[in-house]
Amino acid sequence: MAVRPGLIGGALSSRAGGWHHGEVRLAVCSSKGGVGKTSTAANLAVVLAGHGRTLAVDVDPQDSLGRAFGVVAKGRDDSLAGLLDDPSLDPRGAVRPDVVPGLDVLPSHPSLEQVGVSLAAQGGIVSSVRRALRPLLADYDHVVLDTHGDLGNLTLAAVCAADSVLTVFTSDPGSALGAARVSAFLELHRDFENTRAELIGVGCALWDKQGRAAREVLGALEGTGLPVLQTRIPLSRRVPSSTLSKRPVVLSAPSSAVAQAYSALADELLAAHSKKVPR
Amino acid sequence: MSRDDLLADLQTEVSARPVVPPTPPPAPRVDRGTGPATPALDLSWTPLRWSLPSVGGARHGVGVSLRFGPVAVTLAVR
Repeated sequence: MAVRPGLIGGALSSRAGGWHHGEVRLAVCSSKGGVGKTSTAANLAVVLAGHGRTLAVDVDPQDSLGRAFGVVAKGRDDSLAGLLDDPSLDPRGAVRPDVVPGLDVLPSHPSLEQVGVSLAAQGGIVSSVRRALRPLLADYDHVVLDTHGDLGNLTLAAVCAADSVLTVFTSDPGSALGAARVSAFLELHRDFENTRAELIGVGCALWDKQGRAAREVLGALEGTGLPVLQTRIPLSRRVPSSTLSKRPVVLSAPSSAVAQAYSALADELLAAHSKKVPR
Repeated sequence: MSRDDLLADLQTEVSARPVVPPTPPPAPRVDRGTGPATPALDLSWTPLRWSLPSVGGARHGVGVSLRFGPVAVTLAVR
């Protein structure tokens, strides 16, 4: 069964009509771990797969995005790490097709860390992910790239393969500073002409509507002029449960408030993308 | 931390340019096949092989080896 709006418990049904946005190549970044980045990437990838063939790419050596779907690389060569290290490998050999209907996954492997160090020393890191994905792009309408919780070389490589960036914050003031650093990071690398990716959204995850800290952090971020998204992903026990069950929450509990929030976030992002990244 | 303090910190971060650590240049490749040969002097200690004083060819490369007792001194071009 294809995951289409209206077919997964109604979570997406209210948004079934207006999907005429262009291709999205979205990197989900933060300068801080533990902000819900991988859950956001996994759920957005599933929602986007309901609207066009989508590839989820794990650019994090901790390989959490693949694991969110139960996909684990056996070794370096059937993962993104192998594709970066050996340009002669066929990238289709590392892609797991139809992990969810309409969604393929390119998993990571812990060896990606060392491959990244090696590529940085050789000078090939910036364009490495873009190069590895290039033969695949014609097959997909959307690409979602998950990154490690830092602004290091592999995150830069992911951003350089993307045309838009989403960063995520929580009620932790440190995560808001991290979102601001992502903005500065993008500006810097646009100046270097390493990327043309735009920060299309600053998303609020693990939202605790009762918490004063959450409101203070959100208020401060809104004062910066960064593109803070209206959708808040609520704090929910369903999200870690869905990770355990290897089915993102938009699949495992599609009618839940958190699943509907991810759906709304995708909608908001696509609208922002079509405004900021014209084709 | 008040909202105003945080906002000030955030505005500083947004306008800051992160410091990019310099990536070390790649190590120069060592070409072992085309450069001029370099003579090398080796001194070997071989306690398990005793020999009378003798002079012979070097085992590796072109050169001469002088052996006495457990010691071998070799001058060779490889």
